[in-house]
Amino acid sequence: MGKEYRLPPDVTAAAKVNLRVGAVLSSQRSTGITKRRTFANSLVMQSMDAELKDRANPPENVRRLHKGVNVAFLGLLPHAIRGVDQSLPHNMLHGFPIIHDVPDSGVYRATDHPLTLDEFCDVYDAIMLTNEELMEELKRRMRHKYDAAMAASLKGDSRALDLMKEVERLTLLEVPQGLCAPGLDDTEFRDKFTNDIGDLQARPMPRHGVFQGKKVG
Amino acid sequence: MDDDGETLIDKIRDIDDARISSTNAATRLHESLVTPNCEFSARVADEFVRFAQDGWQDDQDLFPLSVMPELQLGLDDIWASYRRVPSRENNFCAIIIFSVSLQDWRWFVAYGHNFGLTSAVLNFNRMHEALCVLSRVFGASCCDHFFDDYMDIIPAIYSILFSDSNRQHVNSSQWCLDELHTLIGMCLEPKKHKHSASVNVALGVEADLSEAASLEKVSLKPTSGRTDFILDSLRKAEVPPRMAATILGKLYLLLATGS
Repeated sequence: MGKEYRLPPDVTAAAKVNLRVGAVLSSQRSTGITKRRTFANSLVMQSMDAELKDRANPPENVRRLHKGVNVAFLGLLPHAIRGVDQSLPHNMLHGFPIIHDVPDSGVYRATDHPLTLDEFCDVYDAIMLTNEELMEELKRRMRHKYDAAMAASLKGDSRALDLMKEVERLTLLEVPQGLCAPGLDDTEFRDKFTNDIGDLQARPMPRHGVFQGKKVG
Repeated sequence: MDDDGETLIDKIRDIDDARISSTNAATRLHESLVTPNCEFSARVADEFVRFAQDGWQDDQDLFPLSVMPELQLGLDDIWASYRRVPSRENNFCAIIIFSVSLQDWRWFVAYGHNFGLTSAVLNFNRMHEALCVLSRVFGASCCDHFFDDYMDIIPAIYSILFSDSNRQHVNSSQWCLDELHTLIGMCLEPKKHKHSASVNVALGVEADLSEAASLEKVSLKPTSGRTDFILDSLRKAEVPPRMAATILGKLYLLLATGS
């Protein structure tokens, strides 16, 4: 992210349009949005959207998040402007890849990964062998963190404990917001993510709270 | 208190440590992101001045010089943007916390992206990037985004014509961006919407475009809240690592504005 930012060419083009068209632009925008709204909300688009989602048959988490998104309309827009991100609607329908070799979207500046695909796959496979070990290690670390926070609290410094409580509160808040599945205990977690031959197929991350400036109270 | 006299509290964000879990090490990316910074408004204003003063030629058409319009900066944000972009490999979105109330570990699985995954940065920005492009093409919006923060430079006179008291700047490019989000079903967060104005705070920096048309000048300065925070923090005898990182980030923005 240290590379220099360049103003996108279509921002420059938009500035020219503003100067050339002037005040008439307002009514042109209004007409354009009205037409697109009628189209997006039309029965054809709504049924196409429903059918796409039905045929995609994605996992539960994807279904929950793309429920309110008009994927059919989103699918047409990049084509209409010949945009580069042609796989955006597909990913909204099936979920975005987050791990392993994530394909190039073509949207951002290309970079070279330090490892070849074969080298990377070796690293990936080695990491995946440690899923069980990681789970136990994270439990140990989180318990240690809690014990330290509790000890500090007993000595009069409750900041770390308060932060852990806030992390828990914020996490629980995500469940009714439809962003996260309800919490699981150890057994439920293992049951959910262990395959037929007994290998844990999940790689959890420890959650921490960080102060990020101030917000209006 | 902030610059508007409102009470401020600590903002705490949940971060999922994908480094310790090696999830990021198990991810191979082929792209990198370059974001605009607080200079965005000045860069766009510069384009307006250049074209208004000199005119321009596109293909065979010559466009003469025109009146430089007053410029305004509008801002928008999107709620829980990382979390709302679905992930394909949901089993790698699990997190662990130690529940103080239950005195036990609890495991949660996010439906969308975790704040901490390197792939999340690229994936969630794609939706914002696409919507910016659509708004530029369909609505001639001079907009861009810093992650989930949208910045839109708006020639003031063009939007006032169709304004009314309840819906300020109707048919402006900011309105267009908002409408496109609604049509797609990823609504902007009304609470974080800032109407376009000649002076607005973007990315912690006050951008003043009130003299862009008359003097070809855009002023950028850090908010007093930001400078007070930095000075107060530096006066403390001890600065914990996480606070030092915060100060460094805020100082970096000050350097970017040349203040």
